[in-house]
Amino acid sequence: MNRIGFLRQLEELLRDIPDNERREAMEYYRNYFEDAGPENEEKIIEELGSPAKVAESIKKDLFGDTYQAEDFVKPDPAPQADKTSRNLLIAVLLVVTFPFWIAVLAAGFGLLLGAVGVLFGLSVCIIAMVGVFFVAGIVLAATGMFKVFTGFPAVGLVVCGVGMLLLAFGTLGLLATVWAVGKVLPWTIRGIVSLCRRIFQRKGASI
Amino acid sequence: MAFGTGAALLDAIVLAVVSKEEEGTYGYKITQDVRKAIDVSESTLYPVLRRLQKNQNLIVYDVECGGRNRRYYKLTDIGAGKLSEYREEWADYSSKITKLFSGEELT
Repeated sequence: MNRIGFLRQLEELLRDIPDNERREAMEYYRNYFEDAGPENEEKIIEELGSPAKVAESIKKDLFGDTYQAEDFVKPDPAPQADKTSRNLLIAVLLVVTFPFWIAVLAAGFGLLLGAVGVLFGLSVCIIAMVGVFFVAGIVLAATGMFKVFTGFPAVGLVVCGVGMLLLAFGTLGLLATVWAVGKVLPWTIRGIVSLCRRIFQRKGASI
Repeated sequence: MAFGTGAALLDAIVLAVVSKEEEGTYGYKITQDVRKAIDVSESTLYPVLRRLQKNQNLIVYDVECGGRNRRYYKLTDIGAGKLSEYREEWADYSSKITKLFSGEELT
């Protein structure tokens, strides 16, 4: 290996030190070879050992803590770099897995919306049925009464009975609806709210 | 040699070598001069020179020499003060060791 190769390797090995430190060191050793002259080139390379050994001696002084460490600002980039690279990794992971987690998120949101829709539909259906039972019950009972007094007592009584039955079902349905609105609905809403809060808090804690 | 050269002694030797040249001196010559006194490997001195420069014991300047720049090192006032401190300490230290070795009683 000649000095060109030696210096090139040294520069490569000093990549992880600050730019100005690398420039200084390279300048020094380039100077050193030039001052020694071509006749001493081989001897110096042999004595220096290897580019790795020279790089080691420079880095040991820059980052080592054995010698007058207070006289120069010791660079302490490790924790900062760690944090940055970790954050970067998380960001990259989030971007890369974007199609996956957006799908999961969308599916979750869709399911929630669907559940709300079903609940709403069921509620409307039940309320409508209760309404129908009431109206039908009243109409049938009234018709039955009318029949009883207009000469068809048997048919009138049956129709009236059916109407009363429907009214009873309607009242039952109304009671059930009132119970549902008063108890089940708040309970469901509370459940959803607390679920959301738990998800949100877990996310908040992990960041 | 059986006795190692500590960092402070190495600093003192380099300061002494540079101080001998009124107009300053350069890396290769410093290394050769230091090696007349102690046995150090050729890669030892760059970090020492760099550190002394950062501590403002040495000042660096470039001199055009045969179509290229040569980096010269020169003692600063701070460096001169440091060197005289080292000289005093060395005188004290070495005289005690010398006395001890020659069997004299230390006071």
